[in-house]
Amino acid sequence: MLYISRNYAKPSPTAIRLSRDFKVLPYMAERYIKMLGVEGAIMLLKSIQKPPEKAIRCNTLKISPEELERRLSRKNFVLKNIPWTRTGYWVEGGQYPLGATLEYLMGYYYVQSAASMIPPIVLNPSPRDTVLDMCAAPGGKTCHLADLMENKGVIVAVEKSRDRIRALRSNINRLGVRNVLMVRMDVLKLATKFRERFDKVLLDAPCSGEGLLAINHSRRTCRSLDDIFKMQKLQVELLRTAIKLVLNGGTIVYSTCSIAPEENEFVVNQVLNYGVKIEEIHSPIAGDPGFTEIFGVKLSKDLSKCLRLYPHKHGTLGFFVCKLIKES
Amino acid sequence: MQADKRKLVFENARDREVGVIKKVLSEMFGTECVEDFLKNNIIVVARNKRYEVFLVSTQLYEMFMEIKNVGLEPYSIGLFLGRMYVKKNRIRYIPSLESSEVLYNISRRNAIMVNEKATQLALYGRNIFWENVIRIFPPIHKKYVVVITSAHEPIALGRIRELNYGKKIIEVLIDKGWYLRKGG
Repeated sequence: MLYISRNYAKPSPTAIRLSRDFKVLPYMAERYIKMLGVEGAIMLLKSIQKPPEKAIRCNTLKISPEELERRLSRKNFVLKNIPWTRTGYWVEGGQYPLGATLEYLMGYYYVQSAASMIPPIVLNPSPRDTVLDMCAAPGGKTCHLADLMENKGVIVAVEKSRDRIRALRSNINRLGVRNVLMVRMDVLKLATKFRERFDKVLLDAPCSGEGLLAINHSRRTCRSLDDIFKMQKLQVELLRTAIKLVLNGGTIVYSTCSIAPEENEFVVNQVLNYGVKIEEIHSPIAGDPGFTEIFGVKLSKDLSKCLRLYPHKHGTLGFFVCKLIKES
Repeated sequence: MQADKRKLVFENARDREVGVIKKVLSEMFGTECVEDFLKNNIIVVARNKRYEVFLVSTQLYEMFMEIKNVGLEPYSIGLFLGRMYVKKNRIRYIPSLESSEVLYNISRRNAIMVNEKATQLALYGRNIFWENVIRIFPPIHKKYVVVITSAHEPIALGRIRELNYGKKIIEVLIDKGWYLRKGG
């Protein structure tokens, strides 16, 4: 466990002013100033005042991207390709909501944020792999993995929540995915049943959602620093479980929809002595590197190989991705 | 010790169950097409809480056995084939829209093509009047027929019913609008 004094989030007068101007909690503004500088914090807080562009991912198990483009254009949707994936589009216009078209019901696409298309691409599963998706619901990334694996190989999708696993099943059926085995359980207990079993593991960890401020307005005032540290504890446990479950030489992708270093770099830093190393992400998107020193804490230099996305810099939701390799 | 009747248990389908599934699907889409579809796959049944059937590839089946061996049960696996129930001591099978979609795309039979107006109605789970039918792909199954759009997209599974005054309708049993209404 990484113990640090919580004084780093004690708000300065500038932070208090920003928190008042942009209706966020003072401790949040103070951290953004420390992370991005005053100018950067202002730009971030300005950018969360409007939601990011809606995005979809074409499900190539059912339709080609070209055919989907043609069909949605006929319904007055304007599609713009997302640079880091051939199958992702930013979408504008249209006569109907994106979740109510015939194409949606036919499973031709999945409504998904542009940033959340990155973790499966970074994991890069092959049709021969056995992949574990640790916190799978509602299934956007599970279905993306199946798409990348051409509906072959095996994906074990684990979800704890009774309600959320229904959504996962519905999405898997809608998108015509056939290589998934769903299990409803606490994934932390899976390590008592299996050891070093999976070629690749995706851990899109539950988080405080600090990257979703642009779409979740209540998040700007409802989470305290204690909540973030509670999530950190769970995230470290989940990542340690992922390390136990992946094969030697196997890949783990850890991601969150949070820009909080406490839920990202601090988490990864705590597992680096568990036989894993961070690998560079060769992504077409030029994200920011992870922090190697923040809030007065020095972290591993390798954390600069992680990928950070910010609304004001990259036009996406706030996001963090880290690729880990288990050393034999 | 008596097994917990409420606990969901997955296991290989029994011969009787496989027979019923094959019979219904063959009547709908032709024996050759169904044999080809089931080849190299295993039919797995969920019992007790739900009575459902799934089509599982051999690679996925190996993982299924591993999961069972460590005392876990899946929630769902592979392709959802449909639901089963017992009536008058006989096993009955209701195919899923997902499996019907796959089989229709191979066989191109047992389907009724409807116009755009009927497509919208079907997606709300509403029945379709016969005047909205634009083409029939025979042979038509007496219980389950695939409703398709003019672009050959399966949108519902229905049953042809004759009303008292001689008019025919397609009663929609399952439709793709379910994903929006209840899917989550």
